[in-house]
Amino acid sequence: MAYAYLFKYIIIGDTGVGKSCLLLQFTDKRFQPVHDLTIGVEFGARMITIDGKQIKLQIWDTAGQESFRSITRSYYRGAAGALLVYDITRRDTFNHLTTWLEDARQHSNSNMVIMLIGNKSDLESRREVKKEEGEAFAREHGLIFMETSAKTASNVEEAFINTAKEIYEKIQEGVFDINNEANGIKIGPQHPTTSSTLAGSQGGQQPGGGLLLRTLHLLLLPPSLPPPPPVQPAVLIS
Amino acid sequence: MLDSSVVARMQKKFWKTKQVLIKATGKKEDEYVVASDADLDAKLEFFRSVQSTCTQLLKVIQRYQHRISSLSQEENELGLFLRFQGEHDHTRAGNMMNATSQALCTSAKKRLALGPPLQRLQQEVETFRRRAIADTLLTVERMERSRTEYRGALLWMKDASQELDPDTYKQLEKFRKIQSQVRGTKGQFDKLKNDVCQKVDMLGASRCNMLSHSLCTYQTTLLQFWEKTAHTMSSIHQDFQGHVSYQFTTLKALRDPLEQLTEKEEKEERDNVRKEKKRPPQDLDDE
Repeated sequence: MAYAYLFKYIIIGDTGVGKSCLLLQFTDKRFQPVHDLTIGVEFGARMITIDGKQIKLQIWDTAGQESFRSITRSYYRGAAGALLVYDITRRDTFNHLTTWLEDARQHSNSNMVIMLIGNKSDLESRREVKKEEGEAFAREHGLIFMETSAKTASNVEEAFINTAKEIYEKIQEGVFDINNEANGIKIGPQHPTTSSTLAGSQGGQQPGGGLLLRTLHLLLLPPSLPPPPPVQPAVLIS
Repeated sequence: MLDSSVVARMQKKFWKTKQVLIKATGKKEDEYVVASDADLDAKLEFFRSVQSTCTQLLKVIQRYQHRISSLSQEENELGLFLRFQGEHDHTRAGNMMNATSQALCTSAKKRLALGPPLQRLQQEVETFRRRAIADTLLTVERMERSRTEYRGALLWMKDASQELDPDTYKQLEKFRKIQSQVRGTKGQFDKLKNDVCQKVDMLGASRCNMLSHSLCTYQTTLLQFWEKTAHTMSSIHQDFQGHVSYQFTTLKALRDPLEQLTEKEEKEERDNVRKEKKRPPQDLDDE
């Protein structure tokens, strides 16, 4: 299916916090109480629409077990967004967040959007981490925060989509260099109707975004043409 | 089809060998992989200590038994000697020697009673070593082999993860193959890891059980021996009462003349110092 952008996501966090369940809920709208241990990484994909544009989310659901830590580090590379998940019924998974965050910051690009997720919000009676604590941690480290339940599907869509919106905004602001695939964003295969409306309708309204989208338009020309010289949108805007 | 399976086998071998090499050359292993086995490695350390202390214990028991029998022999010989001397001495001293000789011979005989419980202990430790430890060792070896396979598979996966793109079918297919290899070896390793931990726990508990059981018999025998000999010794002590007590004035002559000389010199020197400095006399109290 054609898409305007592809965002690479990575889901990280301790083992058993519900990373794979969040993915399953988001891609298949199902919940599986017992999930096999993830070996290395599993993949999921879904199309979403933001601002009238089709965006493909390519989600890397990593293994949380300690023995896979070095392996999963190589998956950070080129991710545009990360869902950092902890389990609100297990304090230790919250305590490990700092290590995960350090890991993520060290092995990914600095613009990666990180969404902090307190999962299993349906298990209110067994809660060990208060919502305020999650919010405080997110504020302190500049993350977006949400409590979700992969079981009841509460906030799952929002978590994935809000992250995508944040990335999309960053693209509009020119923070991401979309020509560089290391940022975890790929521009979709040629799709004339979408691209022309993109360039036409938005070009005038947002000068920054317009510039960007014009570059995008250039990129969307037939693949036989030589690629345009790389443009640094961030520099152009400021 | 055949080619691909041969290639896969070769790759599997390659990464396993790589892991073997890493371990053999003592190269630094993945710290997270090592850390995730921390509980297992602690159990293994305990297992090695059980192994080595059991061997040591066996050696010590053997030496101890040997010493006990030599001590008994010497004791008995001293007793016989005293009896022989006592027979030729018709004074009261002869009587005393006779009594002492009897006490010594009895003690020598009773001491030998320590042998059987010690032998029993030795047998049990030996059986424990041959059966329980050897059996656990087999499991440990099996676990180590599967650990090598698992870590080899992890190395392979790490290598394949460097350039992974889920939208490229060929890469993903290769990754799935490695993933199933990791899953398989991990399952086996986790099972054996659990086996080892349980077996080592059992080994420790059964050793405690065995030791407390056999050492209890030994302790009772030892106490009995002490009680009996103490009784014999105190009874001859009573026989000795009323006999002439000797003044052992000879002891001084045994002192090393050289030592005596130096002590004398030291004393003189200190006396001089005292005179000069007028130090209080308690400095010399220890003489």
